[in-house]
Amino acid sequence: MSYWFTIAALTGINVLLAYSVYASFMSGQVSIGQVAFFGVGAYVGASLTVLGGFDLVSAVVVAGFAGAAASLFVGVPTLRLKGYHFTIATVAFAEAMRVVLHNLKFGRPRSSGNVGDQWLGPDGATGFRHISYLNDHSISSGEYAVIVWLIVLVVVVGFFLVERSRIARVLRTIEEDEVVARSIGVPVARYKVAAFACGGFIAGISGALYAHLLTFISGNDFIIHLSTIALAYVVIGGGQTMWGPLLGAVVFTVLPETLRPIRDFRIELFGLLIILVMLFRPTGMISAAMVRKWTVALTAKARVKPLKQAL
Amino acid sequence: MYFFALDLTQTTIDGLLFGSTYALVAIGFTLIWGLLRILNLAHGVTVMVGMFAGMLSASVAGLPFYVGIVIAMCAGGLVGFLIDRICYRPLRNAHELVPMIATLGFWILIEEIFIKIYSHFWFRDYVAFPNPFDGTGMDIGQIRLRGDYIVTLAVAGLLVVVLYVLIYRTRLGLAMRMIAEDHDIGNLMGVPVGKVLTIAFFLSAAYGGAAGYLLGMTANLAGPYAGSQAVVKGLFSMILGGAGSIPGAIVGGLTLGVLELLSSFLFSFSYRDAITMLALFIVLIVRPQGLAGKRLADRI
Repeated sequence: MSYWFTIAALTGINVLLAYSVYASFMSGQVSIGQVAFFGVGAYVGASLTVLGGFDLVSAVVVAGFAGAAASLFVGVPTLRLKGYHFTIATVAFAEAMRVVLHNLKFGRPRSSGNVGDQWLGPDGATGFRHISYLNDHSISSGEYAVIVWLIVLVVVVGFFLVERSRIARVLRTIEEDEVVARSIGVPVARYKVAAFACGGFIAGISGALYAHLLTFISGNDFIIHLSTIALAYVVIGGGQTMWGPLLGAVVFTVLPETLRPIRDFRIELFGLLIILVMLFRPTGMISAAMVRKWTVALTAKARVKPLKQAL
Repeated sequence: MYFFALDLTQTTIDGLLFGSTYALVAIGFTLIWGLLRILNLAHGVTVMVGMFAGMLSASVAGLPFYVGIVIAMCAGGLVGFLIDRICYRPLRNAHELVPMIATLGFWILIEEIFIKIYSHFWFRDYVAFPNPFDGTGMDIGQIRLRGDYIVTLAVAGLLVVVLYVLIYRTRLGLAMRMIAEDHDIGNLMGVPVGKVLTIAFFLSAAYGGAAGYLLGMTANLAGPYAGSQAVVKGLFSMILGGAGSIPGAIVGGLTLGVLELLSSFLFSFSYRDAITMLALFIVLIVRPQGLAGKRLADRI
């Protein structure tokens, strides 16, 4: 059972990662560097609980801010540029960050432990071991999955509200045409940077949760591959509405794990599914038109009801 | 001080020579980016396939270098053809991101299948790639040029010249430049866009295959993860020089080679990648069009 709880927690973490891509995706900015903020969040969050004695929730929040700060570092200079340069800068930053994390070393010696395993904190290429917060505070994998999904719920509700607000319209206008957005008085760069920083915040949170779930992280966990997969969740689920990232991340984390008979081939399956979804549904699994149809259907039923009662 | 200067020169020259393989990978990327504005994430697969085709031709079949590299290019090109047919052609009317994600799927799928096959035959991370130029070299004063690096540079140079002739002196090249300018107008002018793009994919992948052969030969090793590493290096070379431009890919590849070797010589090997990436990041901020790219008109 605890296996499934772990999968549930991992799914939640991937959903958060997908939303971190989606935040700037709404304004048409494609980031392939979310893994950098994810990695920063993982290292900051884990350092705070292991070395700083923080509790989980505040460590996760601080990790979120660290992710946002890192994303500002990339976003402020590059989001003023139009087109693909932002995407490319995120790739470069993510790769630089991976190497930095891979070489990071700070912390203190452990009182116990085998020879060669006596360091508490990130230890260069050996990675960051003994992130034992969950074990120390006897949080079971089920409880952890609940914590993760509560955070996911907050994020999803947040996006639900944003999607119905003026902000989303502004972001979609920027996606459509930046010049038009500017001509009607939208501070384009500010909106893009803010959206990207929100994405960085969510990625940071997601990274901190990931570090505590895995208890062991190393710089090489945070390769570009992971960013492209996070982007794939959004594109496959559907980038037109907020439901896409949720569906994409859930389906593409759970499905390869559940198909036990072909477990050895689950990565191949993952690749094949990506190709197939793209071939048969280029708009992603959920399109804006579908959501509109369902919303109309649901609200129509609600509107008809009182009339029937009246008759 | 004298020896330091000597070492510095030696390192820079090695970097230039070795950087030519990066330039080859970057050319493959930049061809597709220039024509279609998509990042072909499956490009690493062509490098990997080229490397293994070359390794098998050299160690199992015992074929000489020049035959091996043609085989590697053909094998890579075949993969490029598949990428076109599976990931690009059915999706040409979709958003640009859609074929890109499809190439991601292709990359994951093929690499995993390949790793399964690989670990069935070999039980190590790497297999030996015979290097016929091992130990050979040329001395100019006190600077030594490694034989395999010279060959690498020669092959890369030859391939670049071929590409230039192809693009600027043939009708096919004219069609490619037309498509890079505007797909629809190309279509209206009677350019067989689909056919030209298939050839472009084949060509891009063939260059990837050649790069795979040269990378394997100079390292004396072939491994199933080489493709992924090459993807990152090639992508960065392209960005460094200027996305979509062939001179940019060459400048970027050579610069990356020099930067890598110099930073591991001057600082430390473990921070090599971080320093090169930081340099790249600074270039992107100061000169976002890349070292050799055209000036950007749009700035919001």
